[in-house]
Amino acid sequence: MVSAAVRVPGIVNAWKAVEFLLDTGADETCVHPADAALRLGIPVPALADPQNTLWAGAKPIQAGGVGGSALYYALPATYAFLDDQGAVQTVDDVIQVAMLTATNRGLPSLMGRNILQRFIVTIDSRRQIVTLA
Amino acid sequence: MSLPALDLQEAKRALGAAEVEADFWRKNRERLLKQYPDHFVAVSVKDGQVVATSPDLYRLMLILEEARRKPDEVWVRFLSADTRQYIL
Repeated sequence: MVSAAVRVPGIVNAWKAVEFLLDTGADETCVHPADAALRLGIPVPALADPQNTLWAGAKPIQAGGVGGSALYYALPATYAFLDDQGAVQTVDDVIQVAMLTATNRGLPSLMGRNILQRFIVTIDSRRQIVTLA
Repeated sequence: MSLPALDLQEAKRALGAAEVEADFWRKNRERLLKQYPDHFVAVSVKDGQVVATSPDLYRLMLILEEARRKPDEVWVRFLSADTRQYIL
C-alpha cells in the first residue's frame, strides 16, 4: 500500500490521506466508494447517483476491475507524498471516483500507471516496503 | 507544482495522521474483525472505542451523522471476513 494525501479542487479542498493499493495493471488511479466517502468526505448519496450535480462537467467512463464493472468520474486532483527527508512532493493529475455498486463497497483504492509512471517504483517484498523515487 | 509552504504542511499533517490511524488498525484489526466481520467499523480517534458499525456504508454514515460525529473524529475501516486475494 502507498499513502498519499489527495486534494480534488472544488470537491475536496482540504488534503485527505488515502491508502492506495499499487496496481501496475491499472491505467488510472481510482478511489473506491468507501475511501471516497470516508476519506475524501464525498457524500454517499452522490456516490450512488451518477446524475448528482457533483459530477457535472466530469468525464464518465465505464471500467472493469476487481470489483466488477462500475462507472467512474475523472476529476483533476493533486497528490502529495512524503519523501524520506520529510519533505512533501506533489503531483497534479486525475483521480477516477467510482460510483457505488453492490460489489465495490469494500474495495481498496488503486494507484495506477498515471501516477506510477512518474516515479521509479521499487517493491521490497521482504521488508514489505514500496518506494516511489 | 509549487504550493505554498503552509499548504504543504497541511498535506504533511494529513499523512502523519494517516500513519497514526494505520498503526491503530494494524494493532486492533484482528480483534475487531472477530467482533464485526464484514462490517464497516467506526472508532473514536480520541480513545479507539467503537462508536458505530454496519455492513452498509450508507447506514454507517447515517449513524455517524445522527450521533453528530464529524468525519475527523472517527477512523473507519471495512473489516472483510474473507482473506482477499486480488488478481490485478
